Amino acid sequence: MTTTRPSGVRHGPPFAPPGRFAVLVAGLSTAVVVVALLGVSVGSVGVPVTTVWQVVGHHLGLPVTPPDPVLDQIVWTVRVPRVLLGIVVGAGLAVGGAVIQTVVRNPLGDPYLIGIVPGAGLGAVVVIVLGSAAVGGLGLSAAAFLGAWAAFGVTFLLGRRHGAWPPVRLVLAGVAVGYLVSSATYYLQTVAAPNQVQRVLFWTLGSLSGAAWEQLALPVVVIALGTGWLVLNGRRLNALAAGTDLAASLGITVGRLQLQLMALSALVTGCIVAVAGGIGFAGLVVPHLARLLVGAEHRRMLLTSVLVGAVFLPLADLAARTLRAPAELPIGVVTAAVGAPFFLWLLRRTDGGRAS
Amino acid sequence: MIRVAAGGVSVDIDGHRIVADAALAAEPGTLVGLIGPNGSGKSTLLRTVYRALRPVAGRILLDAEDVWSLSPRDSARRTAVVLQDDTGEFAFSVREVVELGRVPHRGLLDHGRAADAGIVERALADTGVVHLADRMVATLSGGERQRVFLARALAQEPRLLVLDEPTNHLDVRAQIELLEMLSDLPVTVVAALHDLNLAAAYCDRVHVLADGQPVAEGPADEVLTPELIRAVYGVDARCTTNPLTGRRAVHLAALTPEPHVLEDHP
Repeated sequence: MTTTRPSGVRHGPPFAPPGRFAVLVAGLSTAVVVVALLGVSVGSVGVPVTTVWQVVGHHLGLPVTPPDPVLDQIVWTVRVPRVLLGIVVGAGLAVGGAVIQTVVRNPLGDPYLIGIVPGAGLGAVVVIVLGSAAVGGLGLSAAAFLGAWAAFGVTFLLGRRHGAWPPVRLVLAGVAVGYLVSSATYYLQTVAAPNQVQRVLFWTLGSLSGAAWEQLALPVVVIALGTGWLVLNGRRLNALAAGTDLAASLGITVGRLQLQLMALSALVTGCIVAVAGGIGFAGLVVPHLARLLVGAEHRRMLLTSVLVGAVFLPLADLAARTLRAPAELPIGVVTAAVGAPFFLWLLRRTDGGRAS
Repeated sequence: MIRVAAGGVSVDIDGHRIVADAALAAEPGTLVGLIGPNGSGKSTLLRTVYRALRPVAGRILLDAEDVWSLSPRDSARRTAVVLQDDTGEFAFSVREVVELGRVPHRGLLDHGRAADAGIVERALADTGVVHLADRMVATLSGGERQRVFLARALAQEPRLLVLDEPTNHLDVRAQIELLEMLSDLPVTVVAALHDLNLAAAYCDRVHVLADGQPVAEGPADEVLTPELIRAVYGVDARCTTNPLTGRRAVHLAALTPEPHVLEDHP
């Protein structure tokens, strides 16, 4: 026998069997709660976990002793929304990345690859450097969202061929649009004032520091509905991952499904970058980690990605807040520092596997 | 089982005519081979049959229905494919791959698990891959993988099975096992084949394509002559009878500048 047997997949993913998958979901859900509590209690002012429960209980209308107003302010107004935003952003980036990887059938797929993040960056930088008036009075978030969709739209038109989106063509179009858009972003940075450059840098690398309750609703709804739709369509995603011709033979209108998936990814990612900036590597790495844990079957993989993202990003934010306290690092610095080595490890691990 | 009757099929890709006025016919339950050199349009013609590529002209009838006027899903309930080795990039288990065959039979919310599970198990059993069900497809040998893809196609409960060079990358035993399995199936089979001996041994009829044009059609014994093989493939050929099967055997050699006399041409 002269078959290639990649070492990484010989035994199969450890949590693919139903019983073990349930254990994994329970474990990850617990981890989400633990990391969230940690994120709320650790910071420049340490807050005991009992106090965190007291504040949360108080705001949920439970019969608890009213907390100290200063701690209440720190916990409820600053840290809880920040941790929740971290969970939402982590889950959303993971789902957005997983979907793009399926559409382009390329392990490098992430929202950067089809122009979404560079587009959002341009929208944000225009507002930071030239002011809202330059984009008709739009705020930073709205401009970022619009930029994401504009760049995605161009990618999407250039990547189309014969009514479908051949993966390689789509990736090439996305990379080209990304560089083109980024050149405009870099140009604006060179003409920006120093304080604007600092803001641009922070935006480009992402940050959860602007988290507030009123920003949470939209991303939560979009990501919850989007993930639900994807899980319902899990089998069709499996078919698409197996190849476009095969998907067509299974009764799937390939072009339409690709379009729906890309639009969904752009919507989810657009909502996230609009509030948190361009956080790199989470969308790339988390789905890979999920596949290593539970295999490529989309219903399992998507749920796992959501949970892993919801653990990973609040942890990264905790690191970003505490490593250089009282100063804050952009969260993208942390996600890249963790994500890039992981990706290299992944590369080594799959070396000698099937050429793809 | 279903009757295939395609005629006048033409396909353009980027302004180039890849297939011109081709035909394909298969009686219910027969195994029909599609042969021709690389680039002759075999895969392209087959893609029009399983609805991956719309032809610019011609009709592909399954019994009396045109494939391209059916809904994608109705077409998928009639026709299943086994493509050239197509694992995809990601780690699916054998069972998950075979379950793909049920996609055209289920709605978004209608999971129909019990009946589907039975059909998937039967497809695994019929192709002899039950023992591999929990393995990752990427870890299988070429022959095992092709059986898994056949199981997926059978789980689709098709009446027409289309195969695009299914014996590529298979060793001789796996090739023969696959074709034995195909000839026993109670479905109509259309397969693009590279190996002329396999085509001669197993196909009820063959269609020959060259440069996208139909060249010949008929029973393999009549169609696969030294003259046709030389004209289509540009190689020297001699045909005998395979003493083991009693079917036509094709022997090939490089074309010599001055063709020698064939001594024992049957």
